[in-house]
Amino acid sequence: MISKRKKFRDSIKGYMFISPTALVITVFVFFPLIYAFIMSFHTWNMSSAPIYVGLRNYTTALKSVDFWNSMLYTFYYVLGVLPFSLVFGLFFALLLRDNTMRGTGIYRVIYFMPVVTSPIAAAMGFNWIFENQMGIANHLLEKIGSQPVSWLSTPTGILQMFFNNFNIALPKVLQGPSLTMCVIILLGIWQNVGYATVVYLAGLQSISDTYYEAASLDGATKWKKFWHITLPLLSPSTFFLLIMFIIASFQVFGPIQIMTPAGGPLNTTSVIVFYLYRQAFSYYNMGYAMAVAFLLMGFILTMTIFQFRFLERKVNYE
Amino acid sequence: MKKIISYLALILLLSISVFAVNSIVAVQIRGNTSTKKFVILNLIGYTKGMKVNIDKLAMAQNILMSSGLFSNVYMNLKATNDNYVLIVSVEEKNHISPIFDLEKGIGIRENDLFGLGIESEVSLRCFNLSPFKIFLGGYSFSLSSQRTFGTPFSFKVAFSDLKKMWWSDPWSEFYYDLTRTTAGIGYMLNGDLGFIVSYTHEDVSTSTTAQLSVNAISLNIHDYPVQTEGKRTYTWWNLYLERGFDNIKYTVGAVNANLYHRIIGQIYYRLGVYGALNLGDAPFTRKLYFGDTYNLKGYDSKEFDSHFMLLLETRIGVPLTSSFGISKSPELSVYTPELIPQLALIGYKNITLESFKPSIGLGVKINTPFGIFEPEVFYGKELGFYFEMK
Amino acid sequence: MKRSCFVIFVTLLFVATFMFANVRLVFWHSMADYQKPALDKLVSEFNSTHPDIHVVAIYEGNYDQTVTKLKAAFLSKNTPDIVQLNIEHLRIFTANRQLLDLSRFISETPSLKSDFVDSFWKTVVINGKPYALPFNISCLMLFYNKDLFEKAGLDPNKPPRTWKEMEEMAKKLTVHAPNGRTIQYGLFWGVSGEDTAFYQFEPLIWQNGGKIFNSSMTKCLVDQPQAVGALKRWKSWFDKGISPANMTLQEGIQAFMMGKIAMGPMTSGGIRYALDNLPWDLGVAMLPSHKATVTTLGGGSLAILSNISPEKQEAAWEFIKWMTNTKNTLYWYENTGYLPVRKSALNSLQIRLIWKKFPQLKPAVEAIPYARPRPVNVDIIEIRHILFNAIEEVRHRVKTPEKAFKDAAKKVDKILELEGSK
Repeated sequence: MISKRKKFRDSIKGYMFISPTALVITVFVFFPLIYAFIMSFHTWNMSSAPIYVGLRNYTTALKSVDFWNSMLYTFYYVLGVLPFSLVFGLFFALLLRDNTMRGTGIYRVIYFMPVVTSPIAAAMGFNWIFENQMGIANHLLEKIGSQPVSWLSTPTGILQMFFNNFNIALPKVLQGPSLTMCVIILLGIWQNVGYATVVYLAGLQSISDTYYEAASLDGATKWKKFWHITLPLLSPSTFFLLIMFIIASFQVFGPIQIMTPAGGPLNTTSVIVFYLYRQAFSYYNMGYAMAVAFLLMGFILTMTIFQFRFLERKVNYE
Repeated sequence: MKKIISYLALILLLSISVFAVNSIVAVQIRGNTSTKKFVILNLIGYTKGMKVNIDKLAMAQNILMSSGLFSNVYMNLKATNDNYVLIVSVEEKNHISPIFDLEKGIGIRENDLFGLGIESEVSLRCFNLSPFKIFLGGYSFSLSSQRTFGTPFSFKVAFSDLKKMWWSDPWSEFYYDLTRTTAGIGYMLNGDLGFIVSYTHEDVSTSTTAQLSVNAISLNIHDYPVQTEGKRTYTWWNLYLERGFDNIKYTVGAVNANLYHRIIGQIYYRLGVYGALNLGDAPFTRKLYFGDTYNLKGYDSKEFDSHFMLLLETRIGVPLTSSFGISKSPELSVYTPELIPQLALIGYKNITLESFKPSIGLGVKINTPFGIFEPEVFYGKELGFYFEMK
Repeated sequence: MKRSCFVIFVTLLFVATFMFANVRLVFWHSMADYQKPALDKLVSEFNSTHPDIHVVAIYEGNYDQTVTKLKAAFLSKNTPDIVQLNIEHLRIFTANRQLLDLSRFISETPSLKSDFVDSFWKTVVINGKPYALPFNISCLMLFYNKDLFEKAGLDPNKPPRTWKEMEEMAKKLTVHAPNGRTIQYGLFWGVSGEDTAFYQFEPLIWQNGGKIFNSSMTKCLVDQPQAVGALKRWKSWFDKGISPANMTLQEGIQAFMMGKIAMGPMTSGGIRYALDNLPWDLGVAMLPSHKATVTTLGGGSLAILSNISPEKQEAAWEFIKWMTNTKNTLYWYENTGYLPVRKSALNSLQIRLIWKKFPQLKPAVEAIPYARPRPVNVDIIEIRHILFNAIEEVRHRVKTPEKAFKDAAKKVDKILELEGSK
């Protein structure tokens, strides 16, 4: 009896400790979330009273071509950013692992710099590089005698561009991200690589030297060491980065709003969050935008659960 | 279609019939808190029954704006029977500003004395910069007006009694006391061009020589555009001639011509040519040098003992806003860093490559409510720091 | 002790401010960097001449952002008192009676209404009631580079008056490098896709004798031959190589500024900015006409919110009336290029004095009789984005002009239908 009361008193203490955070989260996260969920079943333009429409917002979204196009562009972005960020991150981490090299600290700072750069500033910088008339990208192209490229206003997918040489028209889904989207993907990679490098560096440092020594005794080559020791033992880092990057990439918005405020050529950079933002804050279709937001949330949730259930099995924890 | 025609008719009517033959029978002045009405009327050049002439009224507005008395001038016509009443609404500027000058010291300037549009200056010489010293070293005052009571006549009266001024020339450094009286009258030929003739009397006594007494008469012709707003390129110039008579005879002359050109955005370059000629035995206080200070920026003043000097100056300025962004309009420009390359030609008879002396300066113009501060650093033969306020 | 002194001082200062200015008004506007100093000067002059009213001007982003912020402000019940709204956005707020009906004030001073330029006044009247005063109205003008005209052997004082003339001149103004690449284009009729989407394309449809909507705003008419014809003509400028095909509007403006494009449509609200910043001699002219002579009217107005106290309403009315009076509308015109909103200003001596100084400001005033307000509707932003996407599809050769406008009209009709059912 006493122990039960004590338990209760203890738990009261615990609740009191978490209550400020819980309160903040409730007010700023859960309450809006629930409110948004309710609103996703209404039409609401922020001014007049909401009207209940049932599932119409969801069905409209799922039937809308623009919604699916936005989903496709989002996938392009995720598929573009993810592998390159991981590969380059690992590559730089391997280069920077050697503590005896001179100036490692400086290099680490340099590679981490893009991460702490404001995405807005970075996007403006990229805009400047790829600008049609005065951008340095085109300036360099002209210097080597090639035609300038309209980086920010070419809607053709890059795969389609390649196949244009053979006069083959690909179906929409296979055309690939537009050139403008590729520039934004490049920005995404540039910003992610630093983060991946740091996480991989931490991962590398936690791998014990004994594995490598044992492998050396067995006569393993460098490549074999990398393939059979480094990579498997880094899989927790990879898994972590995978989840973080997928969630962040699905939610990309800032660079797109800055670099292509009108949604890019033929809306080819209108990723799902941009589409949602436009619906909510340009067209004031709040209910619809919230339905899209919940569809996106469902999507990310499913992806993450899928990763945990199927990919985590392949992760080697030391 | 019908509506468009009626609009067209309206506009045509407005642009043709109005202001065609009618005359202005009265002028109403609004918004003047200190400036007297007759001064403004004179500045406008109003005569009773004058015809409505847009060119003349535009010039009148420019003259009002360039008088330095007003920050805004708005003109309107009110119809009375067949004639018009001209309504001029003005917004007065702050008339008082401080003086900070190496020679004159610290003082105050009021550009609308008793509401008559006359500029008056009173200053007390109380410091010396090189070597730095605080002391009481005389006073000066002046009254002047480019357009006296608004008429085209200019005048200038100035008196200064200055003590212990420092001087350095190729042979010696010494202190001197100076009493100077200047009086002059002139005339503005049109909005831009004017001249002033003045007489100067000076009594100078130095620590090494006996007292000098200088009498001189001078002519100054100046041309400054009355309206520069919205112009990409404009020029202004100034010619000065002085002749000493009585016991010390000499002739000195100087010319100053400038070109302003806005390159792109608010970025500009300013090209200046300054020339000075000293003939005869001009006393050291009347010799002409460049610029407002006795030292030529970035050069050793001792080099300038020749009779003829010429200076080419370029200023490239990039106006910035208060948050250091690139400025997009003159109102937004707060800081203007300037790069100032100069080339001086010193020498009279045998001009060689040695006679051309370059110097380079960096300056920042800072717009403040009191005026423009302009600290500058020059590097030529020696590094010098200069500070000017306009 | 020191701190308490300070607190007392600050409190006194507050009290003093409130004693001297018994009505404090918050004014939201969308005038960014270039126009802001002129607006701030007007506001500070108002404050100094009206000791009992104090207006605080706050920049709230562009027109679209202001709408969003105002909507959010209504939800959080933290609204300003006066707001500068794009004339096309007034309906978004009048539908829910969030703006004050100004009829009462207008009837107090009957001469006021008749002094506003009629076509400007119409833009603020909704269902017969005025909800704002026109403040910064602009129309689309043709900007051209006089230096390039001279270089091409054209008379810099004779801008094109018809589409045909424009095409001919643009051809002469297009310059190719020896290797065949175009280094200077004659024309760029860029159309914006964001804040004021489709703005620059509207006059082309009207000039070709077409319409964008029917008069009751229930049907989109861009699939009609006149509108499609305008689109075809616009496309031909890219096809002929006199216009750069692959440039965003922003890049086009940049190129125009660098003297790589000779002509283009721009809003009159930017004339003074251009005069103060361009590295060449600017010419401004009426848009070239085709079957009709038309240009688009756009811009903003000053509105009062309906949820403020009667005392504040009086003060706010005083403010917006003062901001649009003859003298101030001319000051605003001279310093920005936005059109004077009063007939008495168009007819004044001062405007002639301004033209002496800035002759480029004159054509904008001469264009007023031909200026047509943009069609408006509650969902107009979404509709404009659809129309903009249609012409983009044509520019990028994804669709033919016929198909693009047909698809767009269908989409727009659906929105209009949905709106009617609400």
